[in-house]
Amino acid sequence: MKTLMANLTRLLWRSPSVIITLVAVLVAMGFFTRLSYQQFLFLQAQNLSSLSVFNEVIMPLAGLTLISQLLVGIIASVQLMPRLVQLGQSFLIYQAGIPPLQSYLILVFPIIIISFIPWLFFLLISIHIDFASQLDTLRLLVAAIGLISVGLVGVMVVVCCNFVASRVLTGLLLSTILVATLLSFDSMNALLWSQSYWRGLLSPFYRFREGIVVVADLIALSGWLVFLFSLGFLLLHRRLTCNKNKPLSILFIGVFLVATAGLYQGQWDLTNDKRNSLDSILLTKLEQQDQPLVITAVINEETNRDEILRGFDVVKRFYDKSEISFRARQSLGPEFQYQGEYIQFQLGEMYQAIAYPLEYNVKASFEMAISQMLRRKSQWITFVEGHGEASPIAKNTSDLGELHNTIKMMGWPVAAQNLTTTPVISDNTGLLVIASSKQSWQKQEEDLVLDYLKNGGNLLLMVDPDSVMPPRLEETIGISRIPGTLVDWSGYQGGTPHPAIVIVNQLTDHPTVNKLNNLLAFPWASALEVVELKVNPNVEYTSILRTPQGVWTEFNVESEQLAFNQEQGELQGSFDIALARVDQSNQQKVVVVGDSHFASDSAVNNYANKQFALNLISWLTNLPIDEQQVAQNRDSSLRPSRLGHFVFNWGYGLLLPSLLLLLWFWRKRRRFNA
Amino acid sequence: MQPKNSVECLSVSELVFREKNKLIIDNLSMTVDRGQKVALVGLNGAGKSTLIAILTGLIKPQDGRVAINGRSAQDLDFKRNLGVQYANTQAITNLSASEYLYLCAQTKFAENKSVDNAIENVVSLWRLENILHRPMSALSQGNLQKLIISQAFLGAPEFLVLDEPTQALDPVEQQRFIDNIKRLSDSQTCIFSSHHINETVEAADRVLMLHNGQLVADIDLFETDECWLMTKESVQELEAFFSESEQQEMRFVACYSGQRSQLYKVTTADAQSMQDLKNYCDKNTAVVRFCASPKESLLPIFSALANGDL
Repeated sequence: MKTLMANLTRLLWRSPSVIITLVAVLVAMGFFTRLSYQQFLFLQAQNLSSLSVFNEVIMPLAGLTLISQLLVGIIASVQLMPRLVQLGQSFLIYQAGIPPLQSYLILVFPIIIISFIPWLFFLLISIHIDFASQLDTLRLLVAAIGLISVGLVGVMVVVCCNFVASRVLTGLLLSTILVATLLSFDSMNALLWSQSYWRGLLSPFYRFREGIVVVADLIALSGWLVFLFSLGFLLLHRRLTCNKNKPLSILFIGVFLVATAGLYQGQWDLTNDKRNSLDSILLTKLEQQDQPLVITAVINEETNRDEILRGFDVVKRFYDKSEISFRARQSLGPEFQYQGEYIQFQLGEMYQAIAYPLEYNVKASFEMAISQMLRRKSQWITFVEGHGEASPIAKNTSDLGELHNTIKMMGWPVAAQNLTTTPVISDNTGLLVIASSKQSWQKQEEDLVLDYLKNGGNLLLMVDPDSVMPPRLEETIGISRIPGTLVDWSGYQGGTPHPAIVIVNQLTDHPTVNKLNNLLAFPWASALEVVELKVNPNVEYTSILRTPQGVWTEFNVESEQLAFNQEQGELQGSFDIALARVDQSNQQKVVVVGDSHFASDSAVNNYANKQFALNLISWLTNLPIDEQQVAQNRDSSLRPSRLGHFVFNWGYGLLLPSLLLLLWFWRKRRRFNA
Repeated sequence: MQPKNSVECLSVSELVFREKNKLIIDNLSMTVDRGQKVALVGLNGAGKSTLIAILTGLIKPQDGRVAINGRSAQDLDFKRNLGVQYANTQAITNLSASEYLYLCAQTKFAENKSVDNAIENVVSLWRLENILHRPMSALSQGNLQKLIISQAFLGAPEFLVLDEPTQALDPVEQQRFIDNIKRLSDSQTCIFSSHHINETVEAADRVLMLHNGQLVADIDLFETDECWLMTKESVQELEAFFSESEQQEMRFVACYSGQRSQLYKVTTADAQSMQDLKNYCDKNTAVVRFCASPKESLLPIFSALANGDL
C-alpha cells in the first residue's frame, strides 16, 4: 500500500499542471512575503510602536497559504480520479485487488501530501522569520496546526467533489464552485449571524491564526473531517456493493459533531501576551457595570473594519453584552468629518473615543479605552504644576513625558493642574503627584493639598535636594529630607557615570519593589527621614527603599573632588530614599521619594526605574498593574542577517520555486533519457 | 482445443440494465464454465461493453444477478483473480509503459505476490521489451493497446475479461493475441468481445452473440452435431416437413425471433437427418440461410443482424 501511495504521489509530482500550480503558488507566497517584509521594514524605520511581525507578515501569509493549499488540492485532486475516469483507467481503483478502504486511502493521501507543500513553505518562511525576530512560538504553532486542520478539511471537500466528477474540467469547476461557496457562506455567516452555531472553515481558521484554540472549533473540525472522510469513501465506492453501513454511521457522527459543535464551551488563549483574552480585572469591572458596551467605529476601509472586528471578537467572547456598529465618515455631520476615523466606546453614560489607526494592537487599544472610560469616573492622576515641577506634558529630559504616556496607555486618565488657576482638587482625583517643586507655594495652594490629604487623598511626593517642600505639607506628612545630595561612591566605582547616582540593589518586602528583578538608579537624590511631631497610632511609616551602606549626604555635589566631610555635618551610612506613610483610619497612602529624576525621561528607562514608578502609582491608586498592557509586542522588529535579507527578497519568491521547476525538468529529462 | 470442463464459474441470470430509459441489457441469462474462452460478438450498441462492465463489477445492473463462483463481482477475491481490459482506454501521460505495468500490478495483487515476476511474464508473453521504457503517451495506438491488454494478463488471473482487445492491433499482434488466449490454462476463463469473426473463431471455444441487449445465439464452436438455420417458418412448419423418425433425431431450438425471420439451433447426431435438412433448406424459399456448422454460422448470423434479415 505504501509503495502504491508513493507511486501515485510520484504520478502527481510528474503532472505538469500540478507542478505549474505548485510553482505559481510558491512564487505568489514568496513574493507576498517579500512585499510584507519590505513593508514591515518601512514601518519599522518609522518607529511605529504597535508593530508586530506576526500580525503584519505571518497572519496574511497564513491566509494565502490556506488558499494555496486549496488550489493545489483542487489541481492535484482532478489529476487522480477524474483523470483516471476520463482516460478509462478507473478500473485501476475499482477493480483493485485491495480492500475498498485501502484503495480510498491510496487516492486521498497523495492529494493531501501534495496540497500540504504550501504549508511546509509557510513553515519554512515562519521559522526563518522567527530567527530574525521574536515570534510568539506557541501562537505560530497554533496557527500552523490550524492551517493543517482547516486545510485538511478544505482539501477533503475538494476530494469529495472529484470523486463525483467524471471529467477533469467538471472536477475543476465543481470543486472550485463548492469551495468558493463554502468560504463565502462562512464569511457571510460570520458577518450576519455571528450568534449561529455554524462552524465552517474560515472562522476557526481566523481564531487559530490569532492563537486561540476553541473547543467548539476543534469539535467542528473533527466533525467535518469525519463527515468528509466517510462521504469521500461513499462517493468513491458508490457503485460498488461493499459494506457501506459503517461509513454511513461514521458520516452521521460527523454531521452530529458539526451540528452540535457550537454548544460546547471553552477556549484557550495560547499566546504569550494573552492577546485574545480580556483582562480579568477589566472584565470584573465591566460586569459590575451590568450595562451594554456599545462600540461605534467610524471607519471606511473594509480591511480596517476587519481589524476592529477582531478586537470586538475578543471583547464579545468575554463580555456578551457588547455590540458593534460601523459608520462611514461621510455619514457624519460636516463638523465631525475633519476629525478622521475613530472608535467610540459607550457604557451607560460613559464615553471614550480612540483615534484610528490604533497606536497599539487592537485588543490592547480596546482594553485601554474601556479601562480609561471606567477609571475616568473615579481615578484621575493629577500632576501639580506651577512651581517648576517636572511636567508630564513637557519634552525636557527632566520631565515625565514617557511615564505619563505609559500610565495613560495603561488606562489612567492623567491631568496636569495648576492649583492657582484651578483652585480645586476634584473628588475623582485618585492620586496627586508633586514632582519636585522648585518654587514656593502660595498658602491657598497648600491649603488645597492639605484638605485633599485630610479627606484621605493619596499623594506621591518626589523631592530633590533642591526642591521646595511646602512646610505645612512636610509637617503633615511627617517625612523630611536630610540636607545634602546622596553620593554613592561604590556605585560610581561599579560603573555609574556620576557618584551622585545612587544604585539601590537591596530591595525591601514592600509591594512596590518586592517583585522587581533589577537595580534602581536615583540620580541627585536626597535622603529621607521620618520626623513625626505628633504621634498618631493609626499612621504607619514604612521604608520602601534604602541606599547601600557608605553613601553620604554631600553638601557640595558640584565639586570636582567629592569626598565625605564629617566636619561639615555630612552624614554617611544607609539612608531611606523612599518612604511610605499609611493612615489606617482612612486607608490613605502617601509615598515620598527623595528623587524626581529617576522617573524623568532621561532616567526612567534605566534599570527597573519605570516599573518602580508604575508600581508606586498602582499601589497608591489601589489598582493592580496589568503587566500585559505595558508589555510591547516582542516581535516588533525584524532584523535579518545579510543572507536572510537576500533570502526574503529573492529566495522565497524566485530561487526556491525556480529550483523546484528545474528539479522537475531535470527529473523529467533523466527519466526520458533512461 | 476445446476444454471439457463442466464446472460452472460464471452465472448471469435475468440481467437488466437501463441507461437514460434505454434498455441496454434486456433480461439476459447465461452461464460460463471454468476454462472456457468465450467471445461476445454483436453489432455496435449490442450491449457487449455494458455486459463486460457489469460482469467486472464496474457498474451495477438494475435487475438480475451475476455470480462468479457463487460470489459477487465486487468480491475482493474475485478482483484479485480478475484481469480486465476496457475498450477506449487511454494513456496515462506521465507514466512509462513499465511504470504503468507496475501500477497495475500493485493495485491488483495482494501483498505477497511477486510484482516483478508477473511483469516479466507479461513482457515476455506480449513482447513488450522494446516499448517498456517509453512514455505511454509516446506509444502508437497499437502498442498502447497491446500494453493495456497485457496488464490484464498480469499474475495469470483466473478470469480474463477483455473488451475489444484486438482493436487497433496489427495482424501480427492479432495473431499474438489469439496465441496467448489459446495458451491460457484450463483453469483460466476468458471472456472477450470482438468485431472480428476470424479472430473469434480462432481464439474462442464459444461465441455469445448479442443484439439489442439480448442474447441472440450461444454458439459452441467445437460442437459438431449442431447447425444453424434462419427461416421465416415456425418450429411446427419445420417439423412438419420431416418424418417422425427424423424428428426424433433432430431438435429445433428457437433462439431469436426477429422481425423478418427466426434463428434456430438444430441439434442432430444423425448425418442423414442433417443432409435432409440441408436439402430442405436448398429448396425452401422461406429459409433465409442454413449453416451446416457453428463456425460457418457466425458470419451469416452477424451479417443477417447487420442487414436486418433477422
